[in-house]
Amino acid sequence: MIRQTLQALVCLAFAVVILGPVFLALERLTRVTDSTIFDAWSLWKNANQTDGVLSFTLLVAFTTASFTCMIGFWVASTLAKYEIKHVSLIRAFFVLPFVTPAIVAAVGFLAIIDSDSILSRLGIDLYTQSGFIGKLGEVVGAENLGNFIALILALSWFNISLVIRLIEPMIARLDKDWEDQFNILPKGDSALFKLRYFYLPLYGPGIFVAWSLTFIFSFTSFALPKWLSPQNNTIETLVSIYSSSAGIEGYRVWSSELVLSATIIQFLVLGIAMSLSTILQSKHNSRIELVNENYSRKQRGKLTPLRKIGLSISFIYVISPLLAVLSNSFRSIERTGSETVKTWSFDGWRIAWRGDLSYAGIPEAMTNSVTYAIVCMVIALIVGTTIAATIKQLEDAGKQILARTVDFVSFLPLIVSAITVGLGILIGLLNLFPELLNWRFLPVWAHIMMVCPFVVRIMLPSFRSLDQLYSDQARVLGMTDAEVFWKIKIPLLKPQIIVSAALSMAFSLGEFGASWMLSGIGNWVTLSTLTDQLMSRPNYFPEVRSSAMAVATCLMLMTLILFIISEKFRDENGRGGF
Amino acid sequence: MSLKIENASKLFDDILFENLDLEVEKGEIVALLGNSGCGKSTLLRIVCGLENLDDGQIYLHDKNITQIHPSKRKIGMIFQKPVLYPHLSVEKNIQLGLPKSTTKTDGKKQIEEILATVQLEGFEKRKVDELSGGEKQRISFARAMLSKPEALMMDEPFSALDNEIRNELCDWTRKFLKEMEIPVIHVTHDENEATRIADRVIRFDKL
Repeated sequence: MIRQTLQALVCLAFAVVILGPVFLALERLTRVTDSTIFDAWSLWKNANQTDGVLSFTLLVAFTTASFTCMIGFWVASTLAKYEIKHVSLIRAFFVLPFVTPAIVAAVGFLAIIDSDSILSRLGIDLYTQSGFIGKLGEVVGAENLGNFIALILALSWFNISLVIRLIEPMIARLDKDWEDQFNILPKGDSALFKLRYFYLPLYGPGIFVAWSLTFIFSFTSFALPKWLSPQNNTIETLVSIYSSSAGIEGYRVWSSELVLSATIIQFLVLGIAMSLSTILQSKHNSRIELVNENYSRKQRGKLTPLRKIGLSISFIYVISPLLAVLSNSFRSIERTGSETVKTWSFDGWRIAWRGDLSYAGIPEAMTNSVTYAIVCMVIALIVGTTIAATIKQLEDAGKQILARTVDFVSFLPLIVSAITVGLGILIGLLNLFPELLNWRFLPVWAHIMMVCPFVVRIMLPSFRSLDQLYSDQARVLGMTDAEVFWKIKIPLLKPQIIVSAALSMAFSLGEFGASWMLSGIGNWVTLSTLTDQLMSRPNYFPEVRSSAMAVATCLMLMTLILFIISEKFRDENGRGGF
Repeated sequence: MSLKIENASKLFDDILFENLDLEVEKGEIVALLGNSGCGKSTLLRIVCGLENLDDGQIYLHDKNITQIHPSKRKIGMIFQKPVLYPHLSVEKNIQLGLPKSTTKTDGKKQIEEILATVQLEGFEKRKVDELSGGEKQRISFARAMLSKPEALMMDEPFSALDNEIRNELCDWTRKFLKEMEIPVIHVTHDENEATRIADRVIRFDKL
């Protein structure tokens, strides 16, 4: 009884902590603008700054989700079906982008599309959009086509791992006999028949879950549109621009109207996408049946040459932004008259370490990042695991609606997006408790909110797959419910707990949106906000770019270590989710 | 000194069983025979406290245990699939059956003895996944016995084993249980197994 009460309190506290600041922010915005949340659409339509923003955001999210699923499914099926040497290692590279901080991805792609990059030298200028890309843009009537392509490529890069994680295990473990049985049916030679009755029912829900999650993450992405598509705003970047003056009574009320309407519209779009994803997730889980994946691979044999080429290109696509960040951290610009020459040096690292071009150096930013990541990990792990255990218990007790509600609430931070979470704390909470302004751990609040959904997503399938007999046997042997939890369930779930801990730290280290919103009001520079600070400085300083890349490299290496830890402990049962 | 089930009823979507009465004497082994889904396994889970009765009472040695937590009932259970924890060694798995007050030295000695009884001497440090199905089930027995249960429920514990090992284990189990002198309910759908192991065989639908 005590444990159940504690669990209920943790879930309730989480709901209050998430919804509280956002609710307070909305309350303040509606008060300042003298309107209600139902006026969101008319406020949005009447604002001058919103022209084309919603359609651009939807276009970006839709295109990214479709493109990512297309290439992701191809890579997933290649990795899953064929005998490939070191397949686990190759797979690990493909799933690495998901834990890579968004700011690292942004600066990596910036380096790839830079005016003196290999891509530009090949005539594909996605940055200034001159030459072939510029002409193509004119022909198809698309403004900033180069930036749009760069953004889609970066967002797809970021989300490809999600598609692979969700789909690859299912394909890998599907018994080939199922396919063979289908082939010998009277209509087995019809591709449409196979698609309708075999591939779509089996893979469809998984692909759509991956599609909708990619849509959500692209819709709420902040760092990538901010840096790669500066000419076109998404809802997230628009809110970030005008949030500084929002919520202040009598001052630039239109900015409050804009932020209010943008937040509501974003919430509605993401709510629909998330609901669809949640419904399909349960179907996706129930279809994972299956044989040993090595058995399945042997039945299909080695890679065809065409697949080898495709896989190699995909591999280069995945690895190149990371290599670009690393190599550009050693590239300094030397100006001789009107000419600029890039040379190899450690200057960028030296300057970034000392903090000559920023308010803080790498050591201070790293200390803040690591401190926040540890605190975030501990709290998110406790809260996330408790929520996952509660959902499972509610499911077992037949309280499906309540279980789904808790599940949905646990995912809410992703629906309200990092910027909105930061905004909620900024204009909601701080207006009520201004003394929190100087609280060192304020950004952790936002980090916990953003990380908890992932912990729940990792732990919940593990709780679900835990054989009920383990608990039953322990109870019969005389253990209390608390003993069953601590002595049986927790040790059995140790691999997933370690994976959750490592990923929590990695996500916290890389969290950018909410940190960016909150770092402006305090002195708590993290590695991700420091990278952004340096990238925002004018290029007048020759070491600006390389020092930003040096900070991004530190961030990348730290998340890489955490990623390796999580992959080491991720067992076969842990595949098929985050 | 017996296990008594009185007027027991359990409903799922439909009635699983209703007004069921059963008494098992001390040292008696009763086999319950029945088809899959007739509710015999559910009855065992109810007796252990893993599920609740919709109506009726359960008495162990004249004490009403219907509302008591499974950990306090002192009823052991052997599941169809041997439930050994993969994160623990054989020794640690058996240790879970020891009363909390047992000292370390005494516990070690008891584990050695029980392993000898189930003919698995020297298996202490083995990992669970190194054991065969029959060995796993013997370890389950060892652990259940070490907890000194006052009654034992066995839910088709031999169903996953091949015939030869099953017969051997049946004979061994009967001998072992007879020495324990506790009421035992053994659920099975195999009539040969039921007659081989039990003193009394009852068809579940006749209860």
